[in-house]
Amino acid sequence: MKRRAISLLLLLVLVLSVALTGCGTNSTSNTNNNTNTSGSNDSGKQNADNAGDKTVVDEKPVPIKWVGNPTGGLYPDDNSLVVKEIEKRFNVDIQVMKANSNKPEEMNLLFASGEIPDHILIRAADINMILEEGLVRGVSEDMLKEYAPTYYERVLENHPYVTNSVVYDAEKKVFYAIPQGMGELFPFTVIRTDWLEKVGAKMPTNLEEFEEICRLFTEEDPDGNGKKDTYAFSVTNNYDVYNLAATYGFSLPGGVVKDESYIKGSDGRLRRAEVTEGYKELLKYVSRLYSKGYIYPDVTIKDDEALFTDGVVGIKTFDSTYFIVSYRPNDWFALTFKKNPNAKTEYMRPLKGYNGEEAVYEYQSSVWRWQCFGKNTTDEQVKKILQIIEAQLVDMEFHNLIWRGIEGEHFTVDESGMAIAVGDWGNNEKIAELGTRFFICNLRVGEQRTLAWGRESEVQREFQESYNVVEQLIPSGTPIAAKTEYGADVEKIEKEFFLNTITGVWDVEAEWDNYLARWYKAGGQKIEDEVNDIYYNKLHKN
Amino acid sequence: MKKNQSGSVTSSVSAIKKPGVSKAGDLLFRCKRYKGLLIMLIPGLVWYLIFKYVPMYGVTIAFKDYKLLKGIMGSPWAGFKHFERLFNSSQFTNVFWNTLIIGIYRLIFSFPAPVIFAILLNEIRHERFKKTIQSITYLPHFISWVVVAGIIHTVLSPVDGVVNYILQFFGLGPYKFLMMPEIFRGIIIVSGIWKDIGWGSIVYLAAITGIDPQLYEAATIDGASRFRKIFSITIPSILPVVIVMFLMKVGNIMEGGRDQIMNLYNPIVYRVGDVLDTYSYRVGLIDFDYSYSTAISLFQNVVGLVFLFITNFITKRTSDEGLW
Amino acid sequence: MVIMQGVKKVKASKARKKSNVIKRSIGERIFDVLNYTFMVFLAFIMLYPFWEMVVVSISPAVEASRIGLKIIPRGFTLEAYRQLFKSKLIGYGYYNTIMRTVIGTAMSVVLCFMTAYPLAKRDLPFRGIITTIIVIPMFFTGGLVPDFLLINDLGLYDTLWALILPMLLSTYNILVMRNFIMSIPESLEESALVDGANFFTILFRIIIPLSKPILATVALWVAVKHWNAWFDAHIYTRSNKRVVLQLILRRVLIDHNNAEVTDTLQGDEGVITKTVEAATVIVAIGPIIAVYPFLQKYFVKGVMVGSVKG
Repeated sequence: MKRRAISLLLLLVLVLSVALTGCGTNSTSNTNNNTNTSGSNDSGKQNADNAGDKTVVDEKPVPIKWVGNPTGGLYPDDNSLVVKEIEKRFNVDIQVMKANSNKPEEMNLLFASGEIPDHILIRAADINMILEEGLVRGVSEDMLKEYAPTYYERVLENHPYVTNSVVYDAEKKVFYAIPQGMGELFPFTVIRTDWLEKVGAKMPTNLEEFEEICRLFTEEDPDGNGKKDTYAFSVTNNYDVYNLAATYGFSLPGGVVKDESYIKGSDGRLRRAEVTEGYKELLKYVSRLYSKGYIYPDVTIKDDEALFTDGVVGIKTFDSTYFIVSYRPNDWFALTFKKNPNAKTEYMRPLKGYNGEEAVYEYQSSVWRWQCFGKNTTDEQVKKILQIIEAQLVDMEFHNLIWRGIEGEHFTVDESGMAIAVGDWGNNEKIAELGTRFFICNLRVGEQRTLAWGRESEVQREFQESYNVVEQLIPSGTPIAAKTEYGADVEKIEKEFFLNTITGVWDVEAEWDNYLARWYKAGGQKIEDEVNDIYYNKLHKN
Repeated sequence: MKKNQSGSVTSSVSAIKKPGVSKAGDLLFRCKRYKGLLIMLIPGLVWYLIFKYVPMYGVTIAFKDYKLLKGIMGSPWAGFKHFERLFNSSQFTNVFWNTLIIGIYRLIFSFPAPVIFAILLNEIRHERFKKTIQSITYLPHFISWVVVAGIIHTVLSPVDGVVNYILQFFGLGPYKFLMMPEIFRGIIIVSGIWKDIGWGSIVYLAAITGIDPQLYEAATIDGASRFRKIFSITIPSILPVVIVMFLMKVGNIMEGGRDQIMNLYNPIVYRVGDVLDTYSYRVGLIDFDYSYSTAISLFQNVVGLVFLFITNFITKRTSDEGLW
Repeated sequence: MVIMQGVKKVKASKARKKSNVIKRSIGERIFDVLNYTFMVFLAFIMLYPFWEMVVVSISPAVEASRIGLKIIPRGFTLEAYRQLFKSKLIGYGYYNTIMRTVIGTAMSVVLCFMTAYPLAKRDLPFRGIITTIIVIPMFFTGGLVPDFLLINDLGLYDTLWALILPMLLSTYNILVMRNFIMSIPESLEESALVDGANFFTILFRIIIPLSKPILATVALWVAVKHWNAWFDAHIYTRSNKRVVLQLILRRVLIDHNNAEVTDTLQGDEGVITKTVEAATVIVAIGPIIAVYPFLQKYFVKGVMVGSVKG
């Protein structure tokens, strides 16, 4: 007993002293980072290491540290099928970086540790931070054209504002980030058409009709169970009223749509949508619906999608991919039809505005993520990355591999032309095992769209084209310094006002002036001034 | 209270005050005498050095403009900029007040709950029943706030929550509990009590068990009722423990319980429920302003320390009990 | 002496019980009734949510969303558990959580004792300074970034040690343990010394056996902390194989509801039904709940002297 305890004691001291020596090296490596912010050195070393490890054909594989898209927070193994295939095809050595681009704190810690990956995927909301910190290198327009011509075409075709935003230096013709996703998805609103039939109503076309539908859905027992236990829709944040806001002439940030809307007043001054008269009218409208009991009473509910699944509400606003049953066969929308085989749904067209005008949709950037290149990444590495991106668009087999694996083995194509996972290859853990979806460039060309969404993709595109879309006055991603400082305070006031007024805790009319005063005082004034300065002195100088 | 059991959790601070008592020769003698023990201390101290003191340079972030690439040491100094920003923020008064008032509510309501519970439990005479109740009340302590908050949301739901279901039998409600600013702090307090009343009572139950039984016997012989015994023997006997625990709680007054509030609050109750902890979290989440959020937590710690010193001073003056 | 006191206490309390039974006033009886009722009520509201979760986890999906008290399960299915255990992650989670709890607790208790025992000597040289050194970090900490850099530089990043080493010591636990050891009468040690016992004999024959309650208490505290910890795993580990149970729990309970992190284009998380949620909770908290009642007698005894003045 005695001896054992002593040896345990010794072991502990040993462990700690090892840790201590580790600490010694820590301080030196720290200073290293500070002085030369190395990386090119590192990659050079790695090059040599790899050359020793592998018996390569003729050239050394180019090492690439890749921050990608970990589905469900799971990372592909280094020897997964997709990683191996990319390495073989492009003669690269992929190092999967374990940081989730969806989680800014993980990205920040990665950068803080002195690690600068070669391919960086980053949320649109964090792009300013990346640029300000000087973490990325630029990529010339010529290089894009040379190595990723299809991609380049698609980017400019679909994102004319990209060259208008912070990521592009027009003088040097250099991109500091390129979009990963492409802007085609406004939030859609779906409505239970079997409910509409049951209460004997037609698809609403304006706000009055919408209100009437809400009444019928709440009071006329649309699910026919004899109980008054249904509601028109639920609200937990302003995303849920996105399409209603459009009828008042502006778009609201919320859910995955991060862009804010600025509206030019008759005096020529730009104001944030949340402090305009239209917003006030919207709140009045929504709070009236709430007070009449048409909206699900609990606005703090966490799993509000389940309300639609369970047939408690009959109207839901969400991103269109959620409404594609075969694309997300296990998700809440698909479950609606499993739980209730009689359920039928359809998209709601944009409603006419409160003054009889068309609903206005601001052109959302819809770039949810950017791809950038680390500041120490070499031209050779950039070239390889661009080639990998380009190949996804032009090479159908490679596109499929990156997204879903091998046809016949991991997925099949159904009669509508849509890809369906075989067995449980659509499962998050299996996706990580295979390595799919991690390296995706989120653009789709032609039949790639059909593969992803089947016929729905065309229906949705057609729908979207019926929307009345206007340009953003302040392009998304424009850095607004005052927002960094006051953004959180201002947003708190907005959120607080939104939920308090629609639930009737506060009266919109009575509280409006007070709200404006608090909003401006909390830093809204500074943000608004800066936005106007940007608009008139930078974007529209002449 | 036996003399040889003295020494509270931080009483050793008093030892710092009298370092010069021993002479150099004496020190050498004691070093020799306690050689083994001093060696034994080394691993622990090394651990503190590595895991606590090495990262402590991070406190300077609060006084710097932290830049990722420059690192903490290389980032430029910013003086009190971040503190000024905090104090000038339009939300500061509200958030600070909320933190303070929830902290005070915790002292008034949450703190005595386990004491009362311990005393009541002590009055239960069926040992097995007592043990069972004890075990059951420890249960919620082991569950994280995420889960507890989920339970609270379900139970308090205005549409299908059990509480409203029961209230409807009495013709009341439905109430949208979590959307009522006037009772939100109450929910925070009650759920906190629910979670920790059993666990918190362990200390007091232990203290009650430590009371000399002869005191009770003597009181019984004198014909004292049970209430009498509770108020004249039980409570005064555990008072020192209660005071020490109280002081420790005062030191934590500014810690709003981030996990708890974050999982329970919503924008409707921001004005009563947003505390420094949640505020700094949101600021950090939106802007990744490490400097700012470090400044906020430093401010919190300092205010907590000040509270601790003040209450310790007052209690020492009035009751001769204190942390040091 | 401590033990003797304990024995005396037990005897006395038995004696007290007898004498108290003899006469009880009406007021006292009402008090008793109320007190017992209150305790039963308390037990009910403590137990009910957990019971409900058990009921939901074994109910068919339709039954799970029924309104009202759920005391008796209507229908029985282990579908939710089947679905849950299909995932390899749960296996990894269990492995890592158990490893970190067992190894971490064992190391913590040893190191905590090694630190607390010397500090229990009132005339230990530098005692004041050392105590100050361990108390200061209670109030001033470096924060997220320096902690992460430290772990990274030590080469612990994405290893199990990153979850164990930083949690080895806690000032509070050291002080509690120190106070307990201080309550062991010094005369015991002195007489052993007179009898010719050496340092180790005293340590292993006297101090450690007498410190059992506090060792058990600290062990339980540390174990619970390890079992419930998630933030360190969230920050210090990334690999799928390093996941801990609490992280899985959070992914199920929080992330799936959070539209901000679920990428609408790719994040095919699949819907997580109430029954699976409940099953995950039961699976994650089950073991610690099954274990603690057996440790109860130890930690109550430990706290008794440890954190209490007098």
